[in-house]
Amino acid sequence: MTMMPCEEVARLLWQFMDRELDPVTARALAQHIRACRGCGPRHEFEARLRAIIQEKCAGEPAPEHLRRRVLALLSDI
Amino acid sequence: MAVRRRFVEEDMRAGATLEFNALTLDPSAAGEPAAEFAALVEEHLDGLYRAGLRLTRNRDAAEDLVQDTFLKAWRAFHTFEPGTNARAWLYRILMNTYIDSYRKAEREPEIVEADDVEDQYLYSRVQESEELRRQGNPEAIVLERIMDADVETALASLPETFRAAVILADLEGFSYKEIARILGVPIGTVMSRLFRGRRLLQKALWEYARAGRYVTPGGERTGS
Repeated sequence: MTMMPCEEVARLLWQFMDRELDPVTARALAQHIRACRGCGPRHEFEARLRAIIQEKCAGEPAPEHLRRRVLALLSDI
Repeated sequence: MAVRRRFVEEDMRAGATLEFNALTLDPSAAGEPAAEFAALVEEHLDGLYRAGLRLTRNRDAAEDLVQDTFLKAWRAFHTFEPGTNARAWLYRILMNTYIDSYRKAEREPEIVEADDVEDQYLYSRVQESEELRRQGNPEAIVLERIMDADVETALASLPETFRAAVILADLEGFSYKEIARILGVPIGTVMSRLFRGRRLLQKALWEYARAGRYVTPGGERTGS
C-alpha cells in the first residue's frame, strides 16, 4: 500500500484532528502519522497546542445572578 | 476515533441549504414546557455564557446576550422538536442575536487572501528556528512558553468572523456541519474561516513565544 504523501498529511491534518475526514482517508492519514518521523511530531505538536488553547481559554461558569435572571424569564412570560 | 464519522464531501454538497428540522411544530409533544426549558437552561447556560464572553469580550454584554438568547429561545420553544440538537439550536440563536444586536456597526470585510500561509504556521516556524534548535527540544520549548502566554488575549485579537469559527470548533467542539447551520454559511466558508482563524491565532502565539525567547537576561537579541 502506498503511503499518503507528507504534503497531503499537512494539508489534511486539521480536518483529521477535527474528525471531518472520511474513514478511508482518516485511516490512511493515521497510518502515515504512526510511521512518519516528520509528520508524527507535527501531529503531536498540533494536538498539544490545541489542548493548551482549550485549557487556557476554558473561561468561567455563568454567574449565579444570570442563572436566576434567565430562569425568571419562564415565570414572567 | 471513528465514533463520530462525518463525510465532508457530502456535507459540502448539501452546503448552506441544510436547515434545522427542529423547527417543526409538534403539538402532540406537550409535556411540561417550562420544566423542559429550565433543564435546557441548566445544561447550556455555562457554555453559552463562555461563548458569549469570547464573542463580546465583556461580562455585562455577555450576560445581556445570554439572557436575550434564552428569551428568544423560550418564545420559539414551542417550535423546538425534542430529541433534535438543542445545543446547536441555542448557539444559532446566540449567534443571530449577537450579530443583530451586539456587533459593532462597522462590518469587518471577509478577508480573502491567497493561501500563502501554511496551515501549521507555528510548527513550521519552530522547525525553521535555529535559535530554538540550539536550545534542545524546540517543540517543547515553544509549547512551554505558550503555556505562559495570554492565549485569551491572542484569541480576542482575531477578527470577529474568524474568532467565531475558532470558538465554535476548537472551544465548543461543534462539527463543520453544525457550525455551518449555526452561522448560516456553507461548509466551505466555515473551513476557510476556521483555518484562517487558527493560522492567525498561531501567528499571535508565535510572536509571543519569540518575544519570550529573544528577551534574555543578557540583553535583547534580534532573531532571524
